[in-house]
Amino acid sequence: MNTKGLSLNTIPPVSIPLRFFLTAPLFGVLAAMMVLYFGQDIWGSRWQARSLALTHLLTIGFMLMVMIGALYQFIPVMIGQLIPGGRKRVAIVHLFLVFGSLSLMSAFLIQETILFQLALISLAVSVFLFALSLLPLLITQLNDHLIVYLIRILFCVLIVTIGLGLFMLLAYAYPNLIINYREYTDIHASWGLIGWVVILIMAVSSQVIPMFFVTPDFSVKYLKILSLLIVLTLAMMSLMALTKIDIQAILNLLLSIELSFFTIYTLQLINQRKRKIPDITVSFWRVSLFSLMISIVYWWLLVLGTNSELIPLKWSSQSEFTLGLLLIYGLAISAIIGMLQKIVPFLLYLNLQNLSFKHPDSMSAEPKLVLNMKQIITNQQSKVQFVLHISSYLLLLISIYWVKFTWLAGLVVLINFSWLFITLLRGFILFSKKRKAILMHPEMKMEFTFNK
Amino acid sequence: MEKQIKELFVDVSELEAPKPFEEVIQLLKQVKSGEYIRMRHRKKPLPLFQFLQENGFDSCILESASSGNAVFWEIIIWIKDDKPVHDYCTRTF
Ligand code: HEM
Repeated sequence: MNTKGLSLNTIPPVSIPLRFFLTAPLFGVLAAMMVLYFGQDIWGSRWQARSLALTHLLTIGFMLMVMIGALYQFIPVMIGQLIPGGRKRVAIVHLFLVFGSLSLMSAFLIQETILFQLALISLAVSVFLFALSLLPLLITQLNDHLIVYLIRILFCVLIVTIGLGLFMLLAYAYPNLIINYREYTDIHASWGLIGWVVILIMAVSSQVIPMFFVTPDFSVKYLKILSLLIVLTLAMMSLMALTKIDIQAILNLLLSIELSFFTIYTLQLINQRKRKIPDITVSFWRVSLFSLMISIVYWWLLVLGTNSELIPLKWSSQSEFTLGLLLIYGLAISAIIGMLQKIVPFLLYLNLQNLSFKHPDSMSAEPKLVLNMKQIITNQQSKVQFVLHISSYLLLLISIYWVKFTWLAGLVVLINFSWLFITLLRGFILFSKKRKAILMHPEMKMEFTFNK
Repeated sequence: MEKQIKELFVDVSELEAPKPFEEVIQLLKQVKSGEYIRMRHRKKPLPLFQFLQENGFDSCILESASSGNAVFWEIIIWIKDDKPVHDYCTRTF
């Protein structure tokens, strides 16, 4: 490969991805406040508006928010081009996503039609604009980079998830349309929680795990086949559910095998780390993958238990909340927090490094102006984050069954997301100070030939 | 002439990001005319290529021995204006 002639643009300006990363934890904080406000009433039924509000604070406000930011960061590093659209478009995507998530939450809580309409419009604008920016890259990037392939799949999955979400929202926003939307809820939820979350974790893991933990690379072939199989299985399941043809059991089995394969394969790759430097962020990944494994087992126990007296588990509101928590807080949010601990310091480091070359005198300054990653988010901070995350996760699970723990769970969730916000913000402040200091040095072209 | 061309070798294939980048930057600061760098890596590091392009270096990348699933890359880097090394590298790699 020759890189001549190709103008590379691999390092996005910090402000583009970081605004998403800094906003996301605040939605986590809002979610925690909701738990604190409603207390044990939060665990009523999944159909209550407040659980829908809570779900989407986390899935849109936190998860989708981070995903969009991460794509703005990953795509340039992986393919050498920024996502087109410029800063203005990023600002619109971000603002409308923030506004849309807030309106959706308030709409569910207050049940005001106008709020549903606002949510519908803002979320549609945000997602549509982002998709529009991404689309040209997905069509024209003909190289077979794994990440491009997975993002293409992710794109389709997100269209189904969000398409159905917006469609259901239409029913809420315009009640006189009389749309029978409830038959789509489970399809929307499974495309979101299984399709989108799992493939997102696949895409992120395939880049982040080998890069930061020095494991063998993921097999491109496995991941390509696996992601396609998962989507096809989900598509079949949805068709079956809508047409009421019953081969659901076979499809469930197939999906479980696909998901288990991914989990075991990834855990086994993580265990093959070449340099076993203690790094707590690996544990976030393990928690995430174990959560998926436990969800699969738990789900089967529920299915089998409903048909047999031998297994005491039955479907109930509690079991539905448990599954939701395992997938949203356990699988998705654990991996996302783990990922942020790596990619944010990496982004800030690369930017400082790059800037310091343009201001070469800054390189000799003491103390060093280019921070290393561990200075941006320290090991100690990551450890605290891990303890907070695990304890909030366990407390949430416990509080579904012993509701008097709900308040404590909410409190620790609040601290968990606040800690995430504070560490990211502190990293950014440190970065800004160093950046300013580097900019004090004159800009010139670095003379690498000076040794001639 | 060509006998004097010297290779600086660095193997970063077992280092976690961003150590590979840091290591090669150290070498880039040292490299003198008549020298080129050979870097062994497990990735094609696009941010490094951008950096090289913007700072007067030329480079090429070769697939080196792969074992099992693992592919390794060798990245050859030289100062663009260093004509003898440039000629040598473009001919050899
Ligand atoms: C623009 C984006 C989205 C919109 C407009 C949206 C809208 C909705 C609506 C209106 C419902 C309620 C359906 C009902 O009352 O039966 C719902 C349910 C649900 N959505 Fe979304 N959604 C979006 C994105 C997502 C994403 C990205 C995920 C997951 C990753 C997700 C996960 C869920 C789940 C799990 C439920 C079921 C909640 C429960 O049973 O308590 N949604 N969504």
